[in-house]
Amino acid sequence: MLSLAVKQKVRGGQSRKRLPVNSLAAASAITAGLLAIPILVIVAHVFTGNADVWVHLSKTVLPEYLKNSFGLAAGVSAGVLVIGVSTAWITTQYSFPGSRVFSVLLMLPMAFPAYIIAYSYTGLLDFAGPVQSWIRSAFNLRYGQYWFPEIRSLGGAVWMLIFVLYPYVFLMTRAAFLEQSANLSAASRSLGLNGFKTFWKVNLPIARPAIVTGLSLVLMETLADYGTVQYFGVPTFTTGIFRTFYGLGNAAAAAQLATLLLGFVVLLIVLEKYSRRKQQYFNKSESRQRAELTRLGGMKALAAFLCCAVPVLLGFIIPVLMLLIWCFQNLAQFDAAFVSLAWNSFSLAAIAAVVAIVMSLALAYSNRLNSTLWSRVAIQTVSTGYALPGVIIAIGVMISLAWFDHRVVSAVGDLIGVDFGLLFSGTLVALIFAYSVRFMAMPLGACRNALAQIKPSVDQSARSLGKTPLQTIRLIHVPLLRGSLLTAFLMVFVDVLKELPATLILRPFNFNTLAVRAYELASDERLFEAAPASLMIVVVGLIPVYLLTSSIVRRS
Amino acid sequence: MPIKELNNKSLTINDVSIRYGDNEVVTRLNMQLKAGEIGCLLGASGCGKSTLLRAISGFGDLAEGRILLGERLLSERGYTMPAEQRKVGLVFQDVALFPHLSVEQNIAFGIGALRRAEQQSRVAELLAAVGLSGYEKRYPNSLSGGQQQRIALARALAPRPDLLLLDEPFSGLDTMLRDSLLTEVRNILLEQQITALFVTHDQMEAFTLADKVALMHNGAIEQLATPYDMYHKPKTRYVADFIGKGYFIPAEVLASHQINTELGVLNTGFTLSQPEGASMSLLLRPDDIVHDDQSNYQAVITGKQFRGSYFQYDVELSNGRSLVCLASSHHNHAIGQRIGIKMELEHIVLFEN
Repeated sequence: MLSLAVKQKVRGGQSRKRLPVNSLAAASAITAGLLAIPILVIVAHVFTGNADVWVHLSKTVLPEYLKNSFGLAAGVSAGVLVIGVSTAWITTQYSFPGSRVFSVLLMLPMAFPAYIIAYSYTGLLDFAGPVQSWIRSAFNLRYGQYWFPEIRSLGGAVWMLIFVLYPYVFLMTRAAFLEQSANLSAASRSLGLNGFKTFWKVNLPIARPAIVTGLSLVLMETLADYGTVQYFGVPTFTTGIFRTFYGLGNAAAAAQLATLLLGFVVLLIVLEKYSRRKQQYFNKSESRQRAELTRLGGMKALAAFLCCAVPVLLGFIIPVLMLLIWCFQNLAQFDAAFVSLAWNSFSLAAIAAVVAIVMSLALAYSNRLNSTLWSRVAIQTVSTGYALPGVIIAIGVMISLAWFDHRVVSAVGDLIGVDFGLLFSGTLVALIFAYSVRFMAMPLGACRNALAQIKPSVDQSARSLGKTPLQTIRLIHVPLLRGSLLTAFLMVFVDVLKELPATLILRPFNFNTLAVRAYELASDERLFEAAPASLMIVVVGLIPVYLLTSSIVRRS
Repeated sequence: MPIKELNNKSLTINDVSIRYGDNEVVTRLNMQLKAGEIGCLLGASGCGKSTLLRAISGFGDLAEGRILLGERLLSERGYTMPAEQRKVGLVFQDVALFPHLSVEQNIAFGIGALRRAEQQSRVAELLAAVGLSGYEKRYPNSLSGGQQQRIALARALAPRPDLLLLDEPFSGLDTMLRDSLLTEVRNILLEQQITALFVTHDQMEAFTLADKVALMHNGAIEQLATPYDMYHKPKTRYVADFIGKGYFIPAEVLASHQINTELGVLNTGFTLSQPEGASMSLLLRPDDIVHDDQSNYQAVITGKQFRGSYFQYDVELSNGRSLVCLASSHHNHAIGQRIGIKMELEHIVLFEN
């Protein structure tokens, strides 16, 4: 927030006054540097790694991790592409009963973290659940006398992830279809292609970069998933890293596994960046003629309705009903302990969100003030955190803070004769640090966009009308940034609330959050009791869905 | 207006140099605007005009020289008065209205120290002046480009600045709108008796709006003059080239008051300092050559454009030189036809070769 004051003073041209700009730049450089440390610690293990560990890993667990992680990625990709692209096409081209509402409803599953939808469906579909119980009583069968798909399997995990992740593809693809000029389709029709061929040869290829962007986001989430695959007992990279780190206590081997996973993630980042660039190029269309929606009737309308209704039903309505029923069956669970648990979660998420926003503001202002190669590199580095699985970040944070505690803090403690214990690695500082690494991209992007909207001439107008730099910030910047910052705060708040693996690894002893509590109870086969915490997370998770859809509605 | 107050509003730019690193953008520039005068910095992009405007507004430092408003020192080497203390208003090319404030709040932004009632009457007065009464509660995004620019002008005028600076204020607007707005803005500025300096690369804008035009080139002023003198009495070849259409034909000094050209002998009406026989260049504007059937000087028509009230003919002399000649719209000749032409000069502008 110092930027204007700083800018003014620098222009005064006196060396003594140059200090603030440098200290802002220094603060942002330090911020970026700190946030990069956990990643660098992991990457360093590529070079310092022990070859014996590699040999051991590849002989034992690695093939299975690879098989399952790839299977998961492939299955989820296929599912989200089919659901996301088809629903995007239907909602942008056709009008049928309910068609307008579906553009919002189809986003609802985003409110679910995958591990919570997994709890819902396990309760619904496993042996003791209502579906199988009904089959047994209706047909008078017993265990082993009928076939029923096992939900706790790789296939089950694929379905769970498809249900909650297809909205990424839907969102991106829908926007791309809306941006396409109707004249493109008209040109194709006039050249003799029917509607179906036009879709395959014109509409789909033009939307491809957007689809790939959505898909790469889905794959990042898939590779980062820990809760679902752990609960279903499917060994993948994330569960493997967790087990190696916690169960075997082998930090080096865990970090080495993490580097491999990191390699895949980097591929995804490159893919995403590349397709986003292509997207800009594709969307440079001149005047956009919006197409008239085709009105559907009869069976066609029903088919379109079902195509949109099924994902909403499976991805949101059924699992929410399951959670609601569990909650109502046992209202006594909403007790004082639950309230304090929720309070823990909310205050942690709020602190983390504020920290992320303050750091984003420092980085964004320093870049606006004086955009150097270094400040841009810092922003790029910090912005890739969203792609990194929480497990990796947590282990990176753990290793670096443990080193700091053992080497630096205890050395200082010895000098002054105080035993600090684990000052950082066992406390909330570690958690907030990890959240900042993982969730900085969103608030940073929001700050930069909002600041970019305020042209330098607006600052100069305020100054020439007699306002000091600080008054300019108060009267112009604060009101103009407020909305974006609030949105960013809510987004980070919800992400932190949902984040499971990093919280599991880094939380202080006996400190619980909603996500951790739901995970623990579900792991102990106490799904009933996990319902209140799960439902709370889903309800809060609706906030970003609301923010996203209201901006979509405003645009269309 | 009392004389003292008027004196506070004159602008003095004294030997000003501005550098970015080692790059000198403005070099020892001098200029003065009297109170109430409308001045213009005209020049191609990169000539330093915007840099100078930034320095006057307080968003850039001087390497040498000083800038004064009346007797107040605004800037000198090592000192830059903060922009908010200068009483210098600014209007930008990109308008820069505050998007979160209403029209009324935008205009009142710089007069928050006044009492509420005074603020309101000032806002109403300015809205009337820019012809947008009744727009108080609107927001900038609901206004057209021209309306936004008028509100920006009203906002800048509200605190009664001693000097108003306008940075290419009309270049974002379409031609029709610009022409009407130009005259309107000039009238508003005269009415408000405000000293104003604006920057533009468009000479028609400069000629319409300004009392005094400074043509800038390479960080210095080539000529500071009224629009009329700038056109008819350019001091340098650069000015003659930049302003209007013009052609140079060779001229030879015959005597202290006389030159000889391809189109005949001319009396200069002033004393030439060059010796007899010196070769010079004579500036010809399109309206300096007219069609005359009686003339001894013949040229072939190579192109023609009908402009309604007159014809513009492209003609070629027997020695191959191309010129432009105007003729009344009744003199319709075919391309390839040979016609008589003659010079009809009111201002003789000569440059040494």
